[in-house]
Amino acid sequence: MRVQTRLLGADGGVIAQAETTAVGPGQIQSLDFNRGLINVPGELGTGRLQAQLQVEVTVRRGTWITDTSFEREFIKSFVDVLEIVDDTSGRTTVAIGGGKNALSLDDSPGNESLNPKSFQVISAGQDRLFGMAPGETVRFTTFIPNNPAIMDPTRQVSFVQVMLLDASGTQIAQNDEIAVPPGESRSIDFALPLARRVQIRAQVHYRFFIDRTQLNATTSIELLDTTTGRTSVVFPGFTGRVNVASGDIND
Amino acid sequence: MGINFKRRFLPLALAALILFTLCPVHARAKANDGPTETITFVYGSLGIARGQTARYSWAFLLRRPTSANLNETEPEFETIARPDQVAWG
Repeated sequence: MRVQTRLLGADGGVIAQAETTAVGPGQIQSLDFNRGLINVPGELGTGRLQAQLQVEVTVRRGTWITDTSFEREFIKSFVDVLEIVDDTSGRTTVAIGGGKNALSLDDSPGNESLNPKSFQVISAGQDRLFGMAPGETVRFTTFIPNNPAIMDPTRQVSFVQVMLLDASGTQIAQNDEIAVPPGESRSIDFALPLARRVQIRAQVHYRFFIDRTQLNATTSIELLDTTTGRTSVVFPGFTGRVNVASGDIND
Repeated sequence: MGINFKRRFLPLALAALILFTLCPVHARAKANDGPTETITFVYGSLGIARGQTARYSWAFLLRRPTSANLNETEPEFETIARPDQVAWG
């Protein structure tokens, strides 16, 4: 796999470009376009550079994969984000993207009933990419909609757990699973003792009763200043339409 | 009664040598037999001022088997070996 990125000017010309080869599965790779290193005048007064980022991902696929299945597999597996980072603080000020891979259910053989209380174990798999600098807190807020089809309110409760992984794919933080009542939201905060900016991949895991055939959970991510509480970046909530495809758990 | 080592083990050794030689060839052939696909996408217009950096990050994820197809494992993509390059305009 090869990833090529080009910063294009208003006239479509290439202002800067960067290229890299693949890293291992689950690892993050970043390409930087530092304004100070781009020798283009930009706008009068500010030097601001208006540009578009073009990304080309080239992969070699096995001949046994058809064109249509290739596209489907690629979209499921590839996740990316574009951030504008302040050079001095290392903080992200704006971000686009950050997670679009498909959901997956972790009810593979041996994992169907890890919890004895008849919960379905779900790995929502909506990994998100973002960078985090010293002095920042990342907040995950999950909303679980009410499902009127379920009469027993105790079986509407769902559980959420977040794991943070660094660029090498190593887990660096994880919260204790929290319960989210139906129709309510709950937040999970991580204030990591960072010495410098790190690029992070977040995994959000949901567990819910088999009574719900769809979870429709929404989890938004915010980066905020730990001292002032001010939000600097918001990654909008992703509605996870988790479909439960098996009902092999007995109460 | 003596054992004729040359006669008994030489063919085996030759066969093993051929196998060891062919295995890497087969692996290389597998890695190169698929077509190359290029996916292009363009982000919307953005501005960067002095003191800012546009950072693009990406990852390929491990996928666990889904309920619909328990045989699905990891994506079957091959790496195209190229050294890292960065060029600034």
